[in-house]
Formats: sequence, structure tokens, C-alpha cells
Amino acid sequence: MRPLPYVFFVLAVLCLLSSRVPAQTCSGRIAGIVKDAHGTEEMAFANVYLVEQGRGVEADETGRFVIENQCPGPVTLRFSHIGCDPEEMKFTFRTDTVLEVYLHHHENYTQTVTITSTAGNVGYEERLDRQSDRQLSDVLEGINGLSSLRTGTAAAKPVFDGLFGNRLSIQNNGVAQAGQQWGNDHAPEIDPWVAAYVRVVEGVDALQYGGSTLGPTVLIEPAELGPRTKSGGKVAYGFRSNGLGHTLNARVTDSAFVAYRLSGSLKYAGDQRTPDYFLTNTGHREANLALQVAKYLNPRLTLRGYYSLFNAEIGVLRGSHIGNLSDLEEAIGRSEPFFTEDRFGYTIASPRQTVSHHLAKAELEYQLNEKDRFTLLYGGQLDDRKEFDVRRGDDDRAALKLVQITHNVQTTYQRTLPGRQRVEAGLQYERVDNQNQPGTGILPLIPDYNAQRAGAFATYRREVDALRYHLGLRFDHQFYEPITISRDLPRRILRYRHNFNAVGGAAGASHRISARIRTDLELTYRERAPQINELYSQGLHQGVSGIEEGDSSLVPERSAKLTGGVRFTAASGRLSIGVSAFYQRIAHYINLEPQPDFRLTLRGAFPVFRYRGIDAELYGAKLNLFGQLGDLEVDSRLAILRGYNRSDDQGLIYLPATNWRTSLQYPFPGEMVLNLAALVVEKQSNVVPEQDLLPPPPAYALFDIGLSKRLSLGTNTLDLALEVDNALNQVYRDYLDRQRYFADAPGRSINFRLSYSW
Amino acid sequence: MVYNAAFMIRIYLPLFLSLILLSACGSDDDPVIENEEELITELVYTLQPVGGGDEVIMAFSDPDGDGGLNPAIQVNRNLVANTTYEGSITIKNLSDNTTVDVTAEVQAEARDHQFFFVPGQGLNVDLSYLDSDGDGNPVGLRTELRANDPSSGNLVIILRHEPDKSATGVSISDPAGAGGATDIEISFPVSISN
Repeated sequence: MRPLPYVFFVLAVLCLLSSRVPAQTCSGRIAGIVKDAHGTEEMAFANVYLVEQGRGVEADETGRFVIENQCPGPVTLRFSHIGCDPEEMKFTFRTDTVLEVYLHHHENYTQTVTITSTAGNVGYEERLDRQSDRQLSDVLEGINGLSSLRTGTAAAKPVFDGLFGNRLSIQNNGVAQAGQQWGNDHAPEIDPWVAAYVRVVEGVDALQYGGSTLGPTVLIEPAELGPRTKSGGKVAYGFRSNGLGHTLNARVTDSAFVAYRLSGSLKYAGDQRTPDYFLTNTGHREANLALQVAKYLNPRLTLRGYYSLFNAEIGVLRGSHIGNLSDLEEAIGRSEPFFTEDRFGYTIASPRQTVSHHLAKAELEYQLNEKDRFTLLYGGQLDDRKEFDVRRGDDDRAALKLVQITHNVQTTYQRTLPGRQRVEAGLQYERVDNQNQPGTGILPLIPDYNAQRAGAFATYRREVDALRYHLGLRFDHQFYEPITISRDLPRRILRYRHNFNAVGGAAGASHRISARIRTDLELTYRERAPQINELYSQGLHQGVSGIEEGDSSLVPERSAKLTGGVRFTAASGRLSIGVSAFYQRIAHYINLEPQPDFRLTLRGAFPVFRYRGIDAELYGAKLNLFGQLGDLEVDSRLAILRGYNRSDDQGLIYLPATNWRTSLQYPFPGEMVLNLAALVVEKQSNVVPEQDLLPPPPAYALFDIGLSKRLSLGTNTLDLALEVDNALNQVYRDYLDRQRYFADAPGRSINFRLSYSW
Repeated sequence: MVYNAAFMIRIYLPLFLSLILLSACGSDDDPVIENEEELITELVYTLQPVGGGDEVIMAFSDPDGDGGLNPAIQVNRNLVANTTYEGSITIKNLSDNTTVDVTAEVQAEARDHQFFFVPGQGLNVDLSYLDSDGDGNPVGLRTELRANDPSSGNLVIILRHEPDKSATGVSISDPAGAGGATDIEISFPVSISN
């Protein structure tokens, strides 16, 4: 069997082909293809605008374009597509050139950048690198509709369209991120420095991903290593004045026997500060490492490997650690939290968390022929988490010690059919082994358990003229074996077994009404099996100051979501507007609810919280605007969300309030860029005061300002940046922050960053 | 296509299946039942009348800890009006066959602990500390209780861990402002009769 000429088609990240034909007359030719940066999907009818000549061409239905009669000299091309951010590319045209251009869909990415070919433009990694001294959640918040559910400065989990935790899965480099999903004070164990893209997918696009979700999936991916990945590297140092935090990052990409990229980060920060006082014991340490390798065994076979290690030690605000309800009542009314020191410190004492997360992945990609492709993936994870409380005995004895080992095996088959059709199908298997480690002196809140999940999906995509549609199905079977310890005496081991089935399906269409306007409509049905905490948690939860009890009779949640949107992009690519709205109805929505009865313990009476299936609805709208006024770039995003518990006729708790982010970017001569950003968050009006310990905090606005400069040193670059977060030193508390009961959010931080790349 | 079919059958499928089999092997051991050393299952507040008389004993018992069965709270008899009592507290962990005397632990870490005795509405008693830690601050393992006129109400006994003993407004019957984490909070129904 002879290799086919197109064997490389998908694998090759083919950047630039130069034919050595001198272009003496103006008969030069620039040809290329515009693609979606995250799929192999072509961008039909993308606009290519020649800035110097003030003329444009339109790509054909496969995204291909040709510019004829091009004279040698500097050329600025602006690529745009409905719903995507325009991308400019400058280069000096000498010979006939073939380009491969990738655009990002605007809405679901924090990145608005393109991987372009020749010109050394700002790469996609560059933008994320600018945020490498922040936490992953801050990076994710750039996505419209995405907020963070926080526990102070310690941990944050993403919330998308009102869904978080067990309802939102996170895929780290193609593997469902394992860990203790249920703990709202547990952040995903991922280093933003390794990530190149972060985005959210829904509907048909999300069907292929496993993990516990009611639809949306957050994808966090490093830059892929291609056969032509250039060698290079980058080191960065960042300083943040709030917390006197130091961040050191390094990355080297090269190819030897294999193509590889090695990344590492170190973070060291102390107590953060609100405008008025220190947040004692909110220090943070991190040491992370990642190695990515790719080996092109033969034209058909590629082997990829990935290993990452995430280590963190996180201090939890001392004043937020409470023993019982009266402590809580005392702590929440204070102007400054208990145990507030008047000095800064790097020390991390109890309460604190340490976590160590290993992820290893191996992926084999087999390109059978130009149409068919198989991938086989194994992902293994080990999550080792310890939480230390202030205790009567030894503080250095963890109150919680969990080791979770997860194995994922998945295979995917992709076939491209004539007439711009594509089918994809896959099988997945996952095993989780969760074990409480002995030596805590406390009965565990979450029992030991074994879980197995088998899943299968199939999707179909097609484009017919101006209509693009796709549909897909998914099925999962989930098995759990919790191994619990009885709460009455004598203590006994009790084993249970549960089996759940969950089906999912989605169908969507996108219609290109004109060269400038596109509309989308998608309907998604998903089911989610209850997770082990919802079924079996039992005990006192320090975070909620209540006794949390699972309900082993819960049934899977069933959700239907309808999303629709319109996107407009001006011909010049200088303006794009997107509006979308959704309505989601969830039956058996598993809600943690306070019970009327109190449980008497040694530490007084505690409220009892139990999980119950309710009828819930969520709806919301998002608006994105991206515009260029001369050199000024404006990016504005508004997200509105409402959620109701229809069973009890009241609002759902922990939903993000209406928020509006706007950033302005203005370039000055000498490669200087000025950034201004504003965030306005409304007061949450979705809930009544009786539903919470404290009423939602008032609305607030934050302003950030930044100035960056790039210095070219031969082929290398040195980037300098100065930023001020919360420039007005605003005192505020955010509704989604669990620590808001006790303390204000951090105040102003002046940050400095220096990075050198070669 | 022969090659492809062979590849699928000979290499790809076995690889996929063996990966599943390998990852399906997990441990299936029983979890270790924790030795709950820090648990407190019993608190006894013994009040000895200063001039002699019947001892009043307030006892809390919850052998299975939080959850499981509800705790038992008992007061053996009424306090006698206009009588001064000397009170002493003992706390124990009886959950692990061997008895652990937690009183000694609290005594050893006296600086980090303080008991509070909060009489509820209606209960006419006055309390004062009879002991102190190394810094001269009260601990509350030994107390004096003065039963005044006949009345009844709850007496709440609180043990705070790492309180601010010198915070303003903090007294034996008012822990507000002391902060710290509550290790014990038990409410005993108490009556004073003639």
C-alpha cells in the first residue's frame, strides 16, 4: 500500500512555502487558507483585506484565498471572519507566498490571537504568558460568561452559564481533569504557564469529552508540537506587590530524538492585603513542571507524550476558620477578620492545603489515509491532597488526606467524507480509585470509592452552501462502589453499589445569512449521573459550617438547553458584534439545601444540608463587541444570568451577578502598548437575603491599567510590562467568593513582568 | 486495505483492550477506620456545694461522635438557691476502648484554651474563674458558681480553642469578641430551687 500524497494533510502545521521565483514585475501571488485555530475546519468566506492597497478578497467556501498582482514590499493583511477576531499580519513580500492562517472564534476564547505563519507576530502563547503570574481562574475569566467561584485568594473554580463543579468538566490537555471536584475550595490543579489556549465548548462540540458535566467543558491545551516546531525558549519573571509574590517561568522547545517542550514555574507569595488590612495566612507556593514530547514515527503514525506535575501549598485566611455556628455569627459581623496580623508574612500556617497532581498522557495518532484517522489515548492522574485545620492536637496532622488515582483510555475515529462532511466517533473508559489515607484522626467526609465509567459518542458535521449543521449523541454508563464507615458504634465497613446511565444528544445549525452575518442555534440534551459527594458525603463541612449529608437515592440530572446567537463582522474586520442567549431547564437538579432540623453535637447544634433533586431553570444572554477605532482596540463583554429553583419558587444560589468587562488597547510608537480594563459587577439580585448568611454584597467596579514594551535584541525579544490591578484600591466583596463573609477582597497590586524569548 | 485491517485487528484493538484491562486493575482494600483521638465524647461538669451538700452533675455523652445517634445531655438534680458551688470540668474520649483524658490535654495547652459559661435568659447564676494559665489568664477547668434566687434556664458551656483571652468585653459569661474555634458548646437545662 503506497502512502497517499495527502497523508500529511492534517498533521502538518505547514507554515510557509516559498518558491524561489523572483517577483520583478507586480505579478506576485499570495495564496493561502484560513482555518479555525482549534479544528481542522476551514473558514468559509473569510475576508482578507490588504491594508496598504485598501482592497480585499474573499476566501472561497473552503477558506482558500488568492491575492494576485502583488508588488514586492511591505504588506499588511487583515484576516477576518464572522464571529472571529480579526488578525493582522505584516511582512515584507518578496516571493510568491503560501500562508496558513488560523483564526479564533471570539466568544469562547480568552485569546483573540492567531497562529500566523512567517511574521513574528504576537503568538497565542504570548497572550496567556502575560498572565502566567496569575491563577488559572483569572485567565479563564477572560471568557465571556465565565466567572469564578472563589474561596478567597486560595482557590477558584470556573462557573460557566451558571454551571460549576460537578456540572462543568475541565479537560486538561485532552484528559478530563481529575481531582476532588466537589470541594468548592479546591482549584483545578493546572498551571496557566503550560496552557496556550483556554476555551469553553458546548453542545455537539462538547459531546466527545468525558467527565462530569451538564454540557459545557473547559478545554485547557498547551501549544501542539508540530513536525516543524521551531526551537526556542522563554524565561519570565513576575513580581506582584500585593502579597509580594514572585513568579519565575521558563520554557524550552527543541527537537532532538523527539520534538519536546519543557516548562516549569515557581511561585512564592505571602499574605495578600485588602485596602485596609492584611489577609493573614493567604500565602501561596507553587512548583510546576511539564514535559511535552512528540515523535513522528512515520508519515502515518505520531506518538505524543505529556507529563505534568503540579505542586501547591495554599494558605487559607485564618479568620475564616470557624468551629460552629456561634463562631460564624461572630466572625461575619466583623470589620476586620479575627487573627488579622498588622504585619506582612510569607508564613503559611494552618488552615492550609497542599496538593500534588501528576498527569501523564500518551497518545498515538494513526492517519490511515487522507480521510481516516484514529487516535488512541491513555491518561493517568494521581491527585494527592492534604488539608490541615487548626486543631486541638497537632496542627501538622492533616484533617483530610486523599489520594485519587484515575485512568482514562479513549479511542477516537475521524473520517472526512466528500461534500464537506465529517464524522467522529469514540469509545472511552475511565476508572477512579479514591482512597482516604489513614492518620487523620477524623472519619472522612467523602468515603473511599471505586468508580468506572464507559462512554461512547458519535458526531456528524456537514456544510451545505451557507448552512453548517452538526449533530451528535453520547452515552455513558457509570458504576460506583463507595466503601463507607458507619457513623454508629461499633464502626463497620459498609459497601454499596450504584449503576447509572446517562445519555446526551445535541444538534445545531449555523446559517450564514450574508458575508457579514451568521446566526447559530443549538439544542443540547444532557444527563449527569450524581457524583459521589452528592450520594455519600457525610460529616461536618468546615467550609459551609454545616453537616453535609449525601442522598444515595438521587437520580441523574436531565437538562435541555437551547442556545441561539447572531454574529456580525464588518467587511473591514474592524468591528464585530456577537449576541447570544440561552435557556436551560434541568430536572432533578441536585441542590444542596438546608434542612429544618438541626443536629446536636458536642460543638452545639449545626444546620444539616442535604442534596435534593429539584426542578431548575437557567437563562441568560451575552454580548461581545470587538472594535478597532484607528489604532485603538476595544473589547467589551457583557454577561447576564438568572436561575430559579422552580420547585421552591426561589432563586438559585451561587450564580454570577451581571458582569461587564471592557478593555482598551492602544499602541504607541516604539512597540509600546497601553492597556486599560474595567470590570463592573452588579449586585446579585437573584436571591433573597433569607437564602444566605449575609445578603449579597453591593455592586463594584474595578479598573486595571498596564503598559508594556517590547525590545528586539537581534532575533530575540525582551518584553517589559508594568500593570496595576485594582488601580483605585477599591474595597469590595464578590458574591461568588466564599470568603466574603469574613473579609474584603484584595486591594491594589502593582505588577512588573520581564520576559526574554529566543 | 489488508494492511489496515491487519493493523486494526493485530495492533490497535489489542492495545486499546489491554489498556482498559490494565487500568481496570485497582485496589479494593477496606479503608482504615480512623482512630478518632481528638474526639471528645464525654463532658462532666461537677458542682460541689462549698458548705457541703448534694453534688450537682451535668453530663454530656455522645460515644459515636458527630452523626450516628444523638448525644445524651443530663443534669442529675436542681441547684439549691443562694448556694455557692465549686465547679470542675472533666472531658474524655471514650470512643476507642481506651479512655483518653482530654482534661489533661487542655490543661497542658491552657494558654490556647478557655471555657466560658453562659447562663441563658432566666437563669440567675453568677460565675467566676478559679484557675489561670501561665500568663495569668483564665482557663475555666475550675470555676465558682453562685446560684441565686430560684429560677431556671440553660447554662451553655463553651470551650474555645485559640481565643484572644484579652479581647475587650470578654468575660466568663461573654465569649463574644474572643474569636477562636469552638471545640465544645453544650447547653444544659438547669433549675434553681429552694
